[in-house]
Amino acid sequence: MSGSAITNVTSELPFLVANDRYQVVALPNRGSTTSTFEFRYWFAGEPLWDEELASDSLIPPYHAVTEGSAYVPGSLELPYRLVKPHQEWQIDEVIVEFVGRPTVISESLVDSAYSLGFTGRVEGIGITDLSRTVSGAQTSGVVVSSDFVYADTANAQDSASWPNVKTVKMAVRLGRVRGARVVLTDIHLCKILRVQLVGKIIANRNA
Amino acid sequence: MPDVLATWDDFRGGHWGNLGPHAAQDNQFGGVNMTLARDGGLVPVCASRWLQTNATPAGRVLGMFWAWGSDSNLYFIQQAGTQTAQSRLYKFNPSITSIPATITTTSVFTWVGNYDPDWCEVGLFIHVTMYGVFTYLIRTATNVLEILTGSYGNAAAGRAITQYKERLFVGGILDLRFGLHTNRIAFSGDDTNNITYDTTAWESLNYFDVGAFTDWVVGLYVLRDYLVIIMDDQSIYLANGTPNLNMTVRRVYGFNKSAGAVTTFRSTHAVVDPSQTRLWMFDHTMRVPLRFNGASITRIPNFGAPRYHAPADDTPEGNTTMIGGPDEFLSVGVAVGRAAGEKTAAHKLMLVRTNGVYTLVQQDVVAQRQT
Repeated sequence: MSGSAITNVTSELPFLVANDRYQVVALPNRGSTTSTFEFRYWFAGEPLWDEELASDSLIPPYHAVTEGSAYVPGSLELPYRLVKPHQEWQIDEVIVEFVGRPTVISESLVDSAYSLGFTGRVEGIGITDLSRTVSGAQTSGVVVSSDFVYADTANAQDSASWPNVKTVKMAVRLGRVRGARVVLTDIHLCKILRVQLVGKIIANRNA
Repeated sequence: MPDVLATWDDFRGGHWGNLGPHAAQDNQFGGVNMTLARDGGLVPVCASRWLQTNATPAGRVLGMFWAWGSDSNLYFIQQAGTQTAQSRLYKFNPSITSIPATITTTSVFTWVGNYDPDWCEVGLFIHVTMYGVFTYLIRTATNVLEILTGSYGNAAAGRAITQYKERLFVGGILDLRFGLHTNRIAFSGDDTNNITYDTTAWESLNYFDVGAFTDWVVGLYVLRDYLVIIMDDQSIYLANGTPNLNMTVRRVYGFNKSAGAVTTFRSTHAVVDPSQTRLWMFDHTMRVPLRFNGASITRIPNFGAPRYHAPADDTPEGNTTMIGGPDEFLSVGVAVGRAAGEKTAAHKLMLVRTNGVYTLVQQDVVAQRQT
């Protein structure tokens, strides 16, 4: 199964209770005179993927997917970093260090082929070429790279050596900006540890 | 040789809220559905799972309470299908290792009115007050539901209940015995015979009124040695002392209510921090949690947006609950601008605080439905 994100819903959340161990019981459907209710379980804490804290069976359950095998898509937007005066950046790649959900973690609805990964892009600001336009003949001060995608499967994640950090380099081409940030979307079944922009620092053309 | 132009590996500033990517601190982040792990990484939040039960009666659920500190059961009151003048009390253990959970019926009782019940746990007993009807006692050890009554008559019933010192307090009263008194707080105790800890004794004159007679008491909470009283317009009063002896009541927060004030506050929209040093409550005017420490009110910075007038029965957001240790809570319905992240637009959001930072979670995550 390749996996898909949860769907957007319009239902309300009239009731929600929790204990002191991050476990939440919610009632998104309170029923009516002719229909029944629906309770849901949710864990508000983090997954303890360090091989489930060395096989501690008392840890409250964290589910990577719903009962319909849908994952929760995370999005991570990072703040702008700016160059020093008289400099510009030429961006060549993004390095992402992450921990994939270890294969040894057992969750019946996540089979070996279940997808894992994220999508990303780089946004640059402070571009000097003000004639750059976007659709509709508007002039934009933001330049956006093409999306990059990292995809893997649940059974391809290391469990033997901890921490099982992976590093991926995603090619990005963005030239002559004075600031940039990275946006990662559709993050699923992995924990982001570090994001880096790699490229060249070049002199400002107006220097 | 390529240079590392920028590095983001410290996320301990938490979510930037309305600040956006330009004004945010270097260690803050935007977006949704990510939680900070103890090793400093950011990981998607847990997916919710359907809590199956072995019985699925029809009827509108009026309220729920998780007695996780005593018998671990989740109690809920449900209208009895099409019999709108009756409701039933059910319980089940929500531990997800026992799916489908077994629902136990406790009793059938009369329900009148349109307000959600309020609950409080006292030892192995749970008290639930149903506005317009009665206050009930649930004996968890024997699974018995009974009307709370004693030598002076039935206990008061209203919109809020709590235990303060050795007495039960009920506020926002409507019942057959005391009548309609929206700003009244009645309390238990047999003062005539000096048995003040008797929670079944409700003397006729054991009450005090707070604010104007048209204001509603909707929340009662105990914060250190104070009884915190929250009205429907979010005015806050503090009571301190011993009833019938030296109790004082003073107002500590609130605008003078006028037409158009947002009056959607419910008892489930505030919770006392386990540190006992603050109360977290949802501010419906700015749609952001407030922190009240017994003396001053502080809004959580960088979140929230003003709300237009809302009618009293419009309560789509506000539920607030503690979820872990001190300062770890969840609040449903926070408002943020587009600067918080592109995936925040057109989604209802929950503000979650764990591991010392705020994060935003789409309500979609928890509100997924089978039916």
